[in-house]
Amino acid sequence: MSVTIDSPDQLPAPYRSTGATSRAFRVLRRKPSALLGGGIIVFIAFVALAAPVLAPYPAQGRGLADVPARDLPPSSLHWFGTDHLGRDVLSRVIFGARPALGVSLAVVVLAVLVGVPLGMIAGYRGGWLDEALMRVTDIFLAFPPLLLAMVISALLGASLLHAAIALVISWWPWYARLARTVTQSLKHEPFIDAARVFGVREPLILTRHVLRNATTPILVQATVDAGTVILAVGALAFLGLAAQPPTPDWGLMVADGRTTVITEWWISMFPGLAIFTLVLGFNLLGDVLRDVLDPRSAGR
Amino acid sequence: MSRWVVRRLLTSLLTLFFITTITFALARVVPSNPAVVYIGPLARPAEIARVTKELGLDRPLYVQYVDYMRDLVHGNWGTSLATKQPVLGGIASRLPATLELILVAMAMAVAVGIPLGVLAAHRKGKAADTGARVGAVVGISMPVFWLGLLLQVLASQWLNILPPTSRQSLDVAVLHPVTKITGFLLVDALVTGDWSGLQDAATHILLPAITLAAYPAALVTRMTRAAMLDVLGQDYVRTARTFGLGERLVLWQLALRNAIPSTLTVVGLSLAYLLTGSFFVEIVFDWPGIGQYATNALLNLDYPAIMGITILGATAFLVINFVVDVLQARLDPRVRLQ
Amino acid sequence: MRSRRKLWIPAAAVAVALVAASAGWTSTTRTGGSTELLRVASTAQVTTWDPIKSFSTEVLYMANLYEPLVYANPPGSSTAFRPGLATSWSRTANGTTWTFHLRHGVTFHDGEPLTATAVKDSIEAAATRGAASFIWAALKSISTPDSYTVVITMKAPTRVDLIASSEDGAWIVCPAALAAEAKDAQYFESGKDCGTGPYMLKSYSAGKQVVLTAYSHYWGGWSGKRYSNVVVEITPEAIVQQQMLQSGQVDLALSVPLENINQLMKTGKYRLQVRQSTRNYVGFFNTTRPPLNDPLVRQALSYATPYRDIISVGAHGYGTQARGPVPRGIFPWSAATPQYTTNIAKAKALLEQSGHGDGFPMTLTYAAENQDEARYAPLIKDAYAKIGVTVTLKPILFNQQWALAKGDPKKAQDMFLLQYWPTYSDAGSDNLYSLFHSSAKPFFNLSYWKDPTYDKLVDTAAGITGSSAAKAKALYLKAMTILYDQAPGVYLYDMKTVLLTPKNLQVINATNINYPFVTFFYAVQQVG
Repeated sequence: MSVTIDSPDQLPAPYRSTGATSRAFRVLRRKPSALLGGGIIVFIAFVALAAPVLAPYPAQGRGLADVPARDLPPSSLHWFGTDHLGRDVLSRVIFGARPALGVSLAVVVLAVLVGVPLGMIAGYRGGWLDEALMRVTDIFLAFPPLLLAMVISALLGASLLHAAIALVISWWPWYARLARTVTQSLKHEPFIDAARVFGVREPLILTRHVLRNATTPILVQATVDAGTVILAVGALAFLGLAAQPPTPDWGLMVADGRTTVITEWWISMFPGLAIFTLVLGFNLLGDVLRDVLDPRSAGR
Repeated sequence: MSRWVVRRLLTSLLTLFFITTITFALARVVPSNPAVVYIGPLARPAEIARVTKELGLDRPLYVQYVDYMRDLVHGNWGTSLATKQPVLGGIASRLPATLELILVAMAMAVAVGIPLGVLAAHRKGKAADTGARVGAVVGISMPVFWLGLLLQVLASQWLNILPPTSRQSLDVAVLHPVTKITGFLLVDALVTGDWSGLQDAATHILLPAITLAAYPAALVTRMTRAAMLDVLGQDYVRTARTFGLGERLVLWQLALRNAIPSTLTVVGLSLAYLLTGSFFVEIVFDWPGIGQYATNALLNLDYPAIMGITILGATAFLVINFVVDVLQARLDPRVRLQ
Repeated sequence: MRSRRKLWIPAAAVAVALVAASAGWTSTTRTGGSTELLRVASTAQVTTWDPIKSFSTEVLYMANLYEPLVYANPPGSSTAFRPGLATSWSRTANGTTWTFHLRHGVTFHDGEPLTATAVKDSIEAAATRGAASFIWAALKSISTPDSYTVVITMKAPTRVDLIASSEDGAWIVCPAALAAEAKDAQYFESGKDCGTGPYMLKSYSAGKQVVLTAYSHYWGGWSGKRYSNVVVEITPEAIVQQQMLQSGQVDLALSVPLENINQLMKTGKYRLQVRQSTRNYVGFFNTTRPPLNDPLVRQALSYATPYRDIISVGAHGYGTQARGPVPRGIFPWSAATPQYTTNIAKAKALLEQSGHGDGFPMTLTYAAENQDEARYAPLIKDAYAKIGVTVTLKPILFNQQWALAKGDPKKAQDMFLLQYWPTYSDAGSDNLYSLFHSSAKPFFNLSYWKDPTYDKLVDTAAGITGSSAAKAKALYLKAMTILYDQAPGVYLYDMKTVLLTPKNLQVINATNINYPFVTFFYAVQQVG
């Protein structure tokens, strides 16, 4: 059976306009883990954005000390107690949502922005470009990501920015590889061939057709990765290789409270709980997204 | 197959070469005088100048690089600036502690994860399944350093049933040490019949191993469950059931055997996580392994040691990935070797 | 169900293992009474086992393996020095030639006797290739008229007794080891020692553990309830040391977190020993960069600094506000040295007067790995914000912080926090000179400050310390007053040494202000 196609817009694209996305959302709305995961993320995002309004002591949240009030246990004045410099832990945890969410999203987005185009082009063109990309990503992938981030951060000088840069450098190869694999599997689909025959230029093919189909696995991967990056940023901060005082960073707060974890458990406990909750949110959402949007890799 | 192996080996070596070069360059570019790391912060300029010459740090960078690479190939990984001990020796002496921790954690993860995964798959949709899945997603979301702190406070401080830190009691370590055969305390103590040494080593490794095992245990649970669900639905299993083969037989022998390849992937993935996860466990529990060595090296900007850690990390990762890929190819011929 | 049964087996096994393990653990914790092994936790890393090259935290071990000619006594003692390997000493009137008479019957760990030649070789080795060779910079010659007499001649009047009591660059080493080290610089690094001290190095696990064992022929003898073995577990984190102490894994934890001292004392199991130390914190202002080149601005900042809060948070109360950069109790400290008190109003007024009432930005660098600085640096930031000065905190690893500061002063930090201590107990020739004397290339003077009057005072005082300490002290006081007026830096606080010991240990003479980072294990005895 043949189909006459007069213009590129008539090219059929699998998954396009079949309502898969809107169907997916409807399914998601009914799944409890999606609601919980999404809810957690939205809540924490809201907290991060509204921090100056939500925090009972916003200046302390940013880092202002209040030495006479230090090491106080949770009370009606300070729901989560105060830390070693007298700062309200609840406010610090609220403001800590900003670096946690901000940095991890930035890292994931940047890794995607760097890796996906490279991967797509390499996968589509093949040849020496593909080989080169494979070798380069091999170098980066030969490393446990966190170790690479630690070394880079230590050498460049510990700061949130350098930690973020280090994590982007560690993470982009995964997306490049993913994009490359997806592109390669799509390369020989009939609709791509048809587009080529029609003279549709490569950039358009890549963006309109390849990318649209690659979005799903990349989105799933990104959601789960966001959780992993949050853990990584927290871990680096715990070592002292990421955010520095007086930045309200959850990992830093856990490290700070470690010396008094028995007598003043609230200083380490609540920031740790915050990291756990946010990562849980991303993992729950990522699981459900994977189940719904990409059933081939279900249960991974 | 062998052509693939050879190509893989070559690319791995090339990768190692690049990583070493990049780390070398980075370490020299950043502001920090290696001579100061060597001689200590209070040394006067005359001393620093003398040491700079002694260590050959005044030679052009490419000369130092060539020397370093040449030494590396001959098995000389340089000398740590901070401890004056050979880097290779330092890493080798600490490797058994980390390896033991990782292996015990992995064993725990598998011992807990596989039965849980099977149970969850078998009772899909019921309470046990939900419980296992919730436990698993909690396990992969838990920051390892926080979990370590929690366990330490709980088991050590509040309940006081386990030692909070270290690999051995100092009494045992100094006065009646375990005879060193493999470097793995548990193995050595068992083999030499040193029961008090075995007890000592076991109590000390319990908390760190549990902390480290949480994440891979969760992964293994999820993977096993998924693989089991896949397999349990397949025709031959249904056939086996209709033929009246006992449920237990079906579950454990046919299904599990087929779930192992995918579990293997997870084990491979986890080993990579365990390498870096062990750093944090070693810090919280003062475990004398590679993690401590690496952290000291990074904080001191002790660049020969940093190089050593980098090479070790990359090599370990490459080897693990290689082994996992080979095993997968062997076990599941459907897997394409790219 | 059958599959559930399968789970019971591994679960039961784990439970049994746990119970067995916990029973095993409680029984191996020490019950006490034996002096066989003293278990210590310390942060002291070993950077070298070479006593000539030693200049860092390994001094903890060196001071137990080796001995100097004389020991400096803590301030307030009846005599300034007590005999070490020298039983008596004297100097010529002009203070350039010193004669030391050695103790008889002392042997090195290799069995060889202590002779004057050994002393001469050790000092010459330290003076030529030691890491702290600068302390012997004025050495002219050493002669050994007989095997128990050493005559040290200096180029100028010098306090040789003080130098010879130093914890760096003054250890007496056996001739055989010195000769071996001269040929092979790595001789000691495999874990060797050859001193006269009460302990010998038995084993060393790099970065992890040091085991010392008693030297049976030590000249001081082994009466009393001293320990025949000492194991030091090297743990960089204070909280881990506390955990080891509380769980009974160590007897002595040399650095528990100061904020937990109260809680530990409440248990009633410990005694607390608090002493002055020679360590203090100084903050340097970059005096080459406007507006910090204006003394009025620096004075304003000195008034704005929250000294009391910094001591509460950084030292948890175990510190005293500094009077200049000389640590309390060490020559030439003087109670007459002026110090600033926090006064925000005055700070604001001075800033207005200087024409910078609108404030200005500043970058402050501190050592990222230093927990105290990490705790109190934000307090400085908050306090300076009150007078309109915006501080950006930049924690960097110390090696990098220092490397950056030694570059171009115009591009360096505005404020540098430093923990300092003198190599031997003369903070005039050390602290006052090293930290604020002008130098062509910045070394420790990270304020880049150049004041000829100050330089002259300090140089002259150093020259006459050997002949007249009192006159020198008067000159140093003038110099310290300049440091107050011109404020090239803020003098934060002098640290105290805090030693928490279990009640069954006596450690009265185990620490000495003149020997920072050292605990003399020979002085640790069991009580009762």
